[in-house]
Amino acid sequence: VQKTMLVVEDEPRIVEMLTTRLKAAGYRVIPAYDAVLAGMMALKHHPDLILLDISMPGGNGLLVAERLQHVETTASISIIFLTASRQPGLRARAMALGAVAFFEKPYDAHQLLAAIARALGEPVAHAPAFVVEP
Amino acid sequence: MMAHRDAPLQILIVDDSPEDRMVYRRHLQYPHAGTYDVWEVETGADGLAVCQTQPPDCVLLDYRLPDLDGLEFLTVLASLEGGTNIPVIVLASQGNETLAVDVMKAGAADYMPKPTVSAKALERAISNAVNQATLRAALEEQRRMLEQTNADLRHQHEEIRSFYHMLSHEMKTPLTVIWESVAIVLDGLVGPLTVQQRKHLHLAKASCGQMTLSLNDLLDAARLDTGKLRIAPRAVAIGGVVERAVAAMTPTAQAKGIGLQQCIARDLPDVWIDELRIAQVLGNLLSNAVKFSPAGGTVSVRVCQDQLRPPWVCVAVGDTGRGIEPAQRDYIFDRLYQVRSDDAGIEGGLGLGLYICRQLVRLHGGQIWVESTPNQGSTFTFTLPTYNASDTPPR
Repeated sequence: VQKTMLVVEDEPRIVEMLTTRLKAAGYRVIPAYDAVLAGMMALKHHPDLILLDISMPGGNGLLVAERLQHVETTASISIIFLTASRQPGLRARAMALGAVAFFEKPYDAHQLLAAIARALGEPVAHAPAFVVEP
Repeated sequence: MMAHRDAPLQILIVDDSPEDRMVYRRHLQYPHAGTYDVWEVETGADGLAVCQTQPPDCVLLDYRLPDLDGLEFLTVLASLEGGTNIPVIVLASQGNETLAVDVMKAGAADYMPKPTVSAKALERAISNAVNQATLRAALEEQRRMLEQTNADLRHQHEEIRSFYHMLSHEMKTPLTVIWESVAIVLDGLVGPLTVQQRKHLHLAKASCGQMTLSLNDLLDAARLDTGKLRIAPRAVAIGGVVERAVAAMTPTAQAKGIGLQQCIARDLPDVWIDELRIAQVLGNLLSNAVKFSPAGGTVSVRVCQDQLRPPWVCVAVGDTGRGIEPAQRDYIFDRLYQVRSDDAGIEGGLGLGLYICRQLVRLHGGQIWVESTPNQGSTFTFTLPTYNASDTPPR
């Protein structure tokens, strides 16, 4: 069965990058471009995992995660945070909300895909070895 | 308010006795008229009204007035806007030391028993009082300017901080898009690549990585400068942290033909650290060590107990690079310091790396230092606190 990813990210170019990766890895992708849409899409589609940006216009990703956890039907969805911020303590706050992983942008796509696979209990695909050209 | 030196000083006499006022006025016109402009009022209330509307340069105040005594007058004057800037010389019928002390405490510039008042004495007292008031006003003005400068600097600092925040978001988004676009092509998701194409995309991706590091250094340094960077320490096995840092640096070292060695003492206690931050310090030191070692060189990491401060743990990163001149060793941990040499241009970097290392180690309560022999190599060592479950955690 194809797993569904909800990508919450206000920057369309990054949504496109993530969609390319996730589709190539065999996932279905639903985008949400702000915090309000994120909640609606999560309730409607019950994704298997949410990739969640933190600083977005119109709402904070941490609040989105907190709200989803208070709703019975969305409480068990795995969340991976993806943020450009290096604010001290942010990672700890995000993980305290029960997130399965936390990535800073720019993210390493192979590590991200591995974290997603682990969260979904799937075998972790072998990432292409990092090759340094002479 | 303060009269120009050339202009006559404005003197206000507050005294209900016409005879006394006449005496003062005469004194003030001796030896020649024109030094002072003299005003007279009979009551404290009138005196205060003049001080409020047309502040004089100096007040001669009779202690005993029909409506107020001298202390009351001084108290009200001090509460008026600019009131403390007007010097007041209190004149009392008789000498009384207690009274003198009281009025001086209440802010009087001087105290004279009436029998001692002479033209000379009055002139000297007024001149002293006005000079003092001028100096006080100048001092006050400087203090105000300093406060303003301080406020301006704080404001600018805040602006810089929010600029860094903006920078973080505005630069990282395009950087992420470039990095990940390159990675998608490089991973063959949009079609096969020639060896040449692959080589150039690797260069592009590595440059993105370098830019990300610089940007993060900039942001971290800004936070360290303002004390906004806090660490979240936990009990951690240092061996694993070192192994992961060495593994991360291995591809770069191999590409440059540099050997990476690690030697971790057994049975080390857990350290009490913010793992990500210490990994950042190690990554920084390792990256420098690889950068400054020639091909065929060796970079080694050694972890052991600090002999001088057990049970603290020492981590040492050594290289076989060109070493650091003794004169430079004191400065390399300073903000924006760059080792200058003929080929410094190709090494680049913002000069923030070692500053960040030092600040992060200090946040853990540790120390960092360097030992170096020119043309043989350098060793950077830092110390870390250990965690002892029976103690309250350090920090």
